[in-house]
Amino acid sequence: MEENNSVTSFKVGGEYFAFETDAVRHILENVEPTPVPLTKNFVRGIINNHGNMIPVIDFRVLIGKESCDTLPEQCIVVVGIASEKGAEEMVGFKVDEMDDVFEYDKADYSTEVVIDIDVKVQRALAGTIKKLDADGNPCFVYKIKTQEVAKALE
Amino acid sequence: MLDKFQQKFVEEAQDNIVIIEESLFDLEREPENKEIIERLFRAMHTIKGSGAMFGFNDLSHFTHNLETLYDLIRNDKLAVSKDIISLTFESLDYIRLLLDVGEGTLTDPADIQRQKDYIAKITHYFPEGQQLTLSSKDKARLAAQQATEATKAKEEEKGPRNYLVTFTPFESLLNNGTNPLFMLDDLTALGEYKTVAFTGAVPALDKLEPLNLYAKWQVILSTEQDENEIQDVFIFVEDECKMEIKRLPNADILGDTEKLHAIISRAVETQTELTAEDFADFKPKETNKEEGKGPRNYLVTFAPFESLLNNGTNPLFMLDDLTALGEYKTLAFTSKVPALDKLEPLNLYAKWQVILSTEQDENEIQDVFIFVEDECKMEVKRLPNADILGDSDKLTPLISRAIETQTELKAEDFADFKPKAKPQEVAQQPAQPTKSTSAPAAKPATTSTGGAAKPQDNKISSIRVSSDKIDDLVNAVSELVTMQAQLNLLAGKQDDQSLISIAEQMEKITRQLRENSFSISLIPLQGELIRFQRLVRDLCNKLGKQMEFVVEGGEIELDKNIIDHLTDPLLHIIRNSGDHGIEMPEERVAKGKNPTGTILLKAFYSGSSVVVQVSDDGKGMDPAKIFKKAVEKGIVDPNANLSKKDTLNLIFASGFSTAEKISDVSGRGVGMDVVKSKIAEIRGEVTIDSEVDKGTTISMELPMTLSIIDGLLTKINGEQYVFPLSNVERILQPSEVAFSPSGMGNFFTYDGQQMIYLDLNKIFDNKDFDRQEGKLLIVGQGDKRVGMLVDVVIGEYQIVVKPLGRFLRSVDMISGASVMGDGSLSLIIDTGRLINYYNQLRIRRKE
Repeated sequence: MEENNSVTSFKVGGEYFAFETDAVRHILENVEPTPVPLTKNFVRGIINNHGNMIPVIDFRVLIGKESCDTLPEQCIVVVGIASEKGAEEMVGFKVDEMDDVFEYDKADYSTEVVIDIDVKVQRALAGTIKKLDADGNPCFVYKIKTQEVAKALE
Repeated sequence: MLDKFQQKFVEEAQDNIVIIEESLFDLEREPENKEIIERLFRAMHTIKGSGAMFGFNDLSHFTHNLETLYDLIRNDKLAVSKDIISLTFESLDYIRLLLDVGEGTLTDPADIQRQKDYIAKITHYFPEGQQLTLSSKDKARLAAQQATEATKAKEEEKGPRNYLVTFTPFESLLNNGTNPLFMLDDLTALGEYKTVAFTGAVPALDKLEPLNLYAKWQVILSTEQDENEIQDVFIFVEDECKMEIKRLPNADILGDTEKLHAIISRAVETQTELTAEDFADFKPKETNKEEGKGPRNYLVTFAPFESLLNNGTNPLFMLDDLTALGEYKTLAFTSKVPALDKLEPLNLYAKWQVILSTEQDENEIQDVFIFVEDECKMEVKRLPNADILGDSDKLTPLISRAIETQTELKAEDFADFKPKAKPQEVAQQPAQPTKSTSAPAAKPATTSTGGAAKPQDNKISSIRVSSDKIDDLVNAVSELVTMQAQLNLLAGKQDDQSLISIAEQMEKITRQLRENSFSISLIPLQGELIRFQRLVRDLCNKLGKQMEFVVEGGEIELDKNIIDHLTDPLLHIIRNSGDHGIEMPEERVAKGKNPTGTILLKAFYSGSSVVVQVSDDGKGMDPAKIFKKAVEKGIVDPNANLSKKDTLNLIFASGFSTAEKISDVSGRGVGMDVVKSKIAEIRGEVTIDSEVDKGTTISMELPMTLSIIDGLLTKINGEQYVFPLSNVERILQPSEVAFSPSGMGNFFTYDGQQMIYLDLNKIFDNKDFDRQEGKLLIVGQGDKRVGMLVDVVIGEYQIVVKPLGRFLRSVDMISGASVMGDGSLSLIIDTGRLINYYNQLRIRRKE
């Protein structure tokens, strides 16, 4: 079986991250989460998606940056995560801006992760993809393992 | 793959297994009770029978042996023993396994061996030689039966037998669309007959229920069919009528019209049912075979409706067909033909009568008119077996008179024709038509009968519906409730009185629908209890203990999803009670207790929740021991000073197991922490109480349903929060109560009681809030009452609870969220958890 190497990348705090495209369910703009009290600091609240409550995680806080609500391109990436019972649960991540949907070459992928920020989800980072950014400059995209990020959230 | 009938069989078999299990427990208590044995036997028989029908051959074969065992018990050839009951329990587990295997036969040699072993164990109880004669016994029984039937048949002469069929439908028969006349038709199709209708029960007109059936019938039937055929006619209405078939003497009852008539008239006059005795003095039938062979005479009256010609039917063709059956004489009546100026050229004004002498039977005559049945009046009457057509001296004047006066001929007109010169004719042939005049008499009775308002006991009282369908229904209703809220909101904004009134009506109906559909998904706890009973019994055997399992409140109903979640924790708790709680009999005696321990499962309502309690009268839990253990496991700080309750609660901590040695009954690594989290999943609370040597009680407080609650919508710091209405006792203005001076903690006095209050602005968002600006809710949770300070109270809403999912599980004081009418979200507060959270917060602060 060929490895699935299509990813959806986004930008948070100047860094690039990516989910597997297969896991991405929605990208929502202009949705304000309803805050839930007494939650961990990275939880922004919940949103309603067709009657399902989806928790929204502030990706900035997750990687140890200050929360910010004033960026023009901010949106919520909703990913599906298989739960232990087999049913899928969805989680939204508030990100600074969407970047790209692309397939990477194996040659550009490395399981080595070098990131010099305080990352709560360090273990959820599966590897690094080398690519060119919008201006044609080389950059690194950190690919996220959804199962692992779920563990970090619980 | 099981088809849907097999699926149904499996479900039914599982029901039957439960019946068997229940009966076994009963039998254990009363080994002599025949009724119980009978019940067991029937359930096994059903499994066996329908198993074979749906292709579960091994199951059927296996159950057959079990059934035989109970047949022996039933017939006092074997006494019930504890071993037999145990074996039956084991066998039931095996039957369950076979049900899982599904149709067909076992293929795995291990399974086959297992089945053999079980059967050997069962047949071990059979008396010597019984296992071999088992099937031959059945054969013998069958042969004997056949033999008796054969002799019976021999005894009886071939030929029609007479029956008296009494058919007394219940008043409600017409309700399910059954037409009793069809049944009478079917019945009379079996042979020659005479019908008597009893209409004495028809009430006075003002008391008559037009849809009730008040008539009953008796049919004297002479048929070559046997009794079963007669029974079959009534097979679909068995439960809705009283039906009786009596054999009458083999006499020519129907032929002896004079006697018969007298009997029937008397019966009708006095409205007394005929009995078989009434027919005792009928002479046996004289065998006159020639009689049946000769031509019979009929008077056929054919009165087509005026419109008959419209559909292209030519009445003359029918007359042709009719007269082709034998000799005949036709009369035409044309008096109805109107004057020429009024004549519709396409209408038919004539009618005919045909005197027919034929060897064909009545049906053949009827068949001629089969296509015009609805467009004509047709009557076939039997005439005496005289040489009517030959006796033209008599016949001609009769016909002339009829034509002159334009009066139809009647059967009676032929009464004085001489019988044909044949010896048998002494045996009078009916001058009356065989078709009885009483039959039409029944008709008015039928039309005036009908629909009972009286409920019948034997109506279907429950149906089996797949739980998926119920889930779908409940989900749809949940959505409807949300939409309803939107409609209300919209109507409120529109200021349109008619729209508001519709919205209000809708709300009423929605509420009703919601309540109904949720009550559907509630099932009594009872159904699940049998397996706990079973568990306790197995534990007794395994551990050599004496225990009794007692249930109180088994009729309490819970959402089936809750029951699903409850089963595993309950199994675990009961297993613990049996394994660790109840002592060995000698130990109990030494302590001065009854050697038989009791495990009590008790369910009861408490406010809007249901409490399920498991208590035992065993050795209880020693807090010191628990504490020591918890310290060993590193769960608790050795210097901690815990109350008894807190100590007992340590057993819910993960990784805790009090069993000093791991037995194979409990302590398999899953501990009470699993119980707690399982119950928490359904928003339940587990509490424990225990006294050394007195016993342990574990209580689970559960919500009755999971998905919709009545809630009070409030605002706290601009966000919407819902309190379960059942927990809110009162809404107060802060000015109504006396707050304690600041710095003394959050207390206030209301109704002479000092209560604590929770400033939710502070707790949720750490925001200062002027309490005089808000509203104070008095919230009751169990025996606790606390105040909760919110900004605004908006109103009462039906709230569809949506879970927050596993990522927000840690926020357990918020039990879910709900979509409001305007699409915004509100959070639902779990008041009990919020109070606990606050208490912990205070303790932490003090420390």
